[in-house]
Amino acid sequence: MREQLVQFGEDGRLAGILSPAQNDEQNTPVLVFLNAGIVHRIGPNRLHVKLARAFSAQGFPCLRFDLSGLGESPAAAPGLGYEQQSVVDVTAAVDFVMGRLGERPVILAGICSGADNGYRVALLDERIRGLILLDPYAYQNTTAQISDLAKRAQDPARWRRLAGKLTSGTQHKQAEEEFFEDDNDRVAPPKEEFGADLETLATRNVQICLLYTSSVSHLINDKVQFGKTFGKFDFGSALSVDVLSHVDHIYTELSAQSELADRIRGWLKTTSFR
Amino acid sequence: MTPIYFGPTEKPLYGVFHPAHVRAARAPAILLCNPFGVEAIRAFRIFRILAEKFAQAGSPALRFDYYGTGDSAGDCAQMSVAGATENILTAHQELIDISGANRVVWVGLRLGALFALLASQARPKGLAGLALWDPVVLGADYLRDLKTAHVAGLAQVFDQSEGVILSKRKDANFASEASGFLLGKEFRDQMLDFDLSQIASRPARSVAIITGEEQHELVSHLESVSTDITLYEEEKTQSWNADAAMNAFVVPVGSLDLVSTAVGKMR
Repeated sequence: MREQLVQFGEDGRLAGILSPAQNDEQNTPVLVFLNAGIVHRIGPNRLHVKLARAFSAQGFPCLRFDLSGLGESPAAAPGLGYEQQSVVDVTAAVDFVMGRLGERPVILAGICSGADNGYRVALLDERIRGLILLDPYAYQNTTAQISDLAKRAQDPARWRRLAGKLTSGTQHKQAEEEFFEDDNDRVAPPKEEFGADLETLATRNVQICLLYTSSVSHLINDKVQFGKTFGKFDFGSALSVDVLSHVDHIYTELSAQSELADRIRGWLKTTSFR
Repeated sequence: MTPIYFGPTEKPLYGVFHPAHVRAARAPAILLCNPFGVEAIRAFRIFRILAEKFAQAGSPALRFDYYGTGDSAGDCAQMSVAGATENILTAHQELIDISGANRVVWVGLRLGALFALLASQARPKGLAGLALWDPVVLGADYLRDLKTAHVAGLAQVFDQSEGVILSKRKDANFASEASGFLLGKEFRDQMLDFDLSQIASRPARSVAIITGEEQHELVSHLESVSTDITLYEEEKTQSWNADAAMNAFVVPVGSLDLVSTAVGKMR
């Protein structure tokens, strides 16, 4: 079925493309794809287009759109910060799909900052019945920490930088800290907060698919770790977690893109979103 | 700006029309021709800004996605050189129809420049000039560069040597994919077949080349088909065309000014 250009939100500012479902049924969930970083709505490697067309052909309507100030959507009036404005925009997208398609479960899907925005909105909006979180917040445990430190110690570039700093007069302690510092500057909420939030969502019966890739292997490199890290929380059967250590953050390889589509398809098929 | 679908109903193309903000009698309409693959994603914001810059100066502008790319219909496998060339001609006519302009200048970035050169050979009515920005003109070299960038990118993200990356993949030649995008057989064959002899007639009255690289072969060929060429030297660093730019608002302001100047001087 032909895709439709749509505009919604305040003054119709937010621009998106709706992929109507083939053989649409009233209660079939709608998938909403959220921007990854500042990449416009087609997604890294055109991933959102590929997934939206694949899933709409299988009966799931899909919306991809641009947050304020990204892609084809102009910036909002100053006032709200990025996170608050994203919540307003995603909520407007949910209002739009409900109005256009009728009340039905909504699943938010996103990579990295898209996952973060989906998680934030789901906590506030009970219409969200599912989340596909690709490289959401991750927290290091001992196993990953040891593995990560060993890897850093084998990185010649780090040793060269350390030697350069020590010979150029940088204080020993500072150089040592920089040798082990994390390259990733993404700020996650405290682990306890993230775990409690996931538990709240699980209690509300929000179904959550979390997929981690090699980009966070210094934090999590095995799905068993996730269970240990959040062992004190009760997620019931709402969470599906896996680590794809052979895949990069934006699913660059075509085989990785196929694997992602297969995993989401399998999760959609075996999950009830009521 | 207005998002539109245009072209054949069964193969709709996605585009965005930027109407002129002011009336400027001699200002041509501008058709922006995308690069390919990851470069098209990196250039998205730049083209949006460039289109708006032209619109503010009195030139209506259209940017669009080739069939099988971006938000246009079609799978990546269906994207081809011949198809993209045909899409430029369709977009050219669409721009004339919606803007009422009788003169159009095409701005082609990277592979979009090659597509524009090829499309110009159909001699569409109203084509007044070509601005070729960092043009790709050697198909085989371009395919080789795509492979190099793909392997280097994977080596970096997986923290492995390029040799390890190559040895672990079934398609070790990476002939059919590059940095997240499928390269269809037709596309690859047409790229390998391309050479400048396919530009047998003068592409347009005015041609500008905006580049930081030597383009002797292209310049000499265009001169041989009696083209009036103006060269604009760009800084060598393509800051927009790097992995780091994917998550940063990098816009090559100097290059945008050069492109605007080049188009403004076309008669």
